Amino acid sequence: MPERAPASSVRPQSLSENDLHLREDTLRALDRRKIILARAGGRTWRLLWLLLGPGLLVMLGENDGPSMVSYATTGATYGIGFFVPFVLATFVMAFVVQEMALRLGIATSRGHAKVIFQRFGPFWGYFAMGDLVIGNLLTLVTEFIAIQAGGLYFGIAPWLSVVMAICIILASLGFRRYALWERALMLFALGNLLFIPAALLAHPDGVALAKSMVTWGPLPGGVGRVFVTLVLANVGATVTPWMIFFQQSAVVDKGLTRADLAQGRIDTAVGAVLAAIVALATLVVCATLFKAHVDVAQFASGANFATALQPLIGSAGASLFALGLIEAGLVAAMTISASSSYALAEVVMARHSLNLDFTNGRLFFSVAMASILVAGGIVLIPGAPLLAMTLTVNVIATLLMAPALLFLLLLVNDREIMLDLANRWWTNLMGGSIVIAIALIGAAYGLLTVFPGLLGK
Amino acid sequence: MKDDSNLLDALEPGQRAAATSIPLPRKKLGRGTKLLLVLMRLYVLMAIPLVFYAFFHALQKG
Repeated sequence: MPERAPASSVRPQSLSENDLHLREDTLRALDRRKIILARAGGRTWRLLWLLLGPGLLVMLGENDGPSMVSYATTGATYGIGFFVPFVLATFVMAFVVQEMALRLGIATSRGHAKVIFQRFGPFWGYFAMGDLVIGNLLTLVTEFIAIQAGGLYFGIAPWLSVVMAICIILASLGFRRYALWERALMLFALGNLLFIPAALLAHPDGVALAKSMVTWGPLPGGVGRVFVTLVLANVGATVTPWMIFFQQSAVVDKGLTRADLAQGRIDTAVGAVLAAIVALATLVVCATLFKAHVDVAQFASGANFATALQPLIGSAGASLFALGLIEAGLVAAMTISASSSYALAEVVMARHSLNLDFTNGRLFFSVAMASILVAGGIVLIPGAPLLAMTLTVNVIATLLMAPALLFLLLLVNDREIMLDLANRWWTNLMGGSIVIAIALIGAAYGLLTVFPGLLGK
Repeated sequence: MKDDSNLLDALEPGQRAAATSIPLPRKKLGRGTKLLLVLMRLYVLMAIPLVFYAFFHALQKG
């Protein structure tokens, strides 16, 4: 027997018989049946395995190309110290935010853009979708830059890396089945763990790591413009608007219900822990550059990091780092393009599911394909302002995080749609604190962008 | 067809594609929420020029 949700005052209660045989429904029902059987048979581990996915993918997906470069720059600039516990704290923030997105998806069975559009009207619906799609397109460009950089380390021509990546991403859409797409991505996302052996090859100082966790130090150079920029970059590397949109839509597409909330939380927590370990591993491996006094300020891409690491951690470690960069860009490109597809199709009321066939999901698949082709194409244009785009992506992500989080908070407090899954006072306290912190960080970033000399060097 | 119907019982009524295509009603906004949304519009209006500034500034720096 399926688990039944409490009846919502705004949820439709009856359906036409003609609507019952959609491919999307049938495929989702097949996945749900496995979950129901596993739960009924008391098969806890199988149940967890079946329900893993959206949280894991969103967290490892956000460990993307630019994020890994941010962690690498942080490690190479400040070594092991303040940023070790700080990066961990940003993942706690990410978990709090994504857990809310999970509950919202379960409660409404609708994606984030759709719920904003329907509850707050077209202006905010189109705004949320528009800024997401544009921001995502620019982010995709930076993912291809990371893929190029990783490929460059192995001597692969930039155009070839981009073309191969485009082919893999487009092929993943060919599954036309959410469950297969999710499992294929989870397999790819395991590549994110490549940064861990690379860190071990750097022989990290365990005592220094433990000490930094307790003292939140040292912080060589103190608080300056570089410090504030890296604080912003690290927050932007873990908490971004696309994550909310992606996880909520993926939760709906996977068909999670109230009964799956605990496993959904475990999925998100496991994703956050794995992503945090990988982020710290990247910081730790690049702390060897700090020790060796390597100036990374002039590094143009992630490839420079891999090359600079080679004499310090050996060619195996540097190769793992470069491979990790390729994987980071690839997985992020898949999840980010999917989040654009979900958001745009939801707002224009088109069909939106990775379970659709190409005929019924024409618009849905076209958005992902077009954004991948356009972003890949931009990277291949000779003389394209790639650095300007990378910097602009950070600005957009940080500035638009505050409105995105505010909407999330308003929606998870909307008892008409959330019923018993609405936020409690303590989740509001945590969520509210994060919104205020992100808004302040956004304002600081804005001020530093317009007045770069504000904090001196 | 009957098997399909049984299979679809695995979904909650609100999960089916037809159910999710029916829009949720607009939220009745209180004064506080309306004020928040106005402040958010102002924030967005300030943020947009900043994004353009950042882009063109970065473009000039090469």
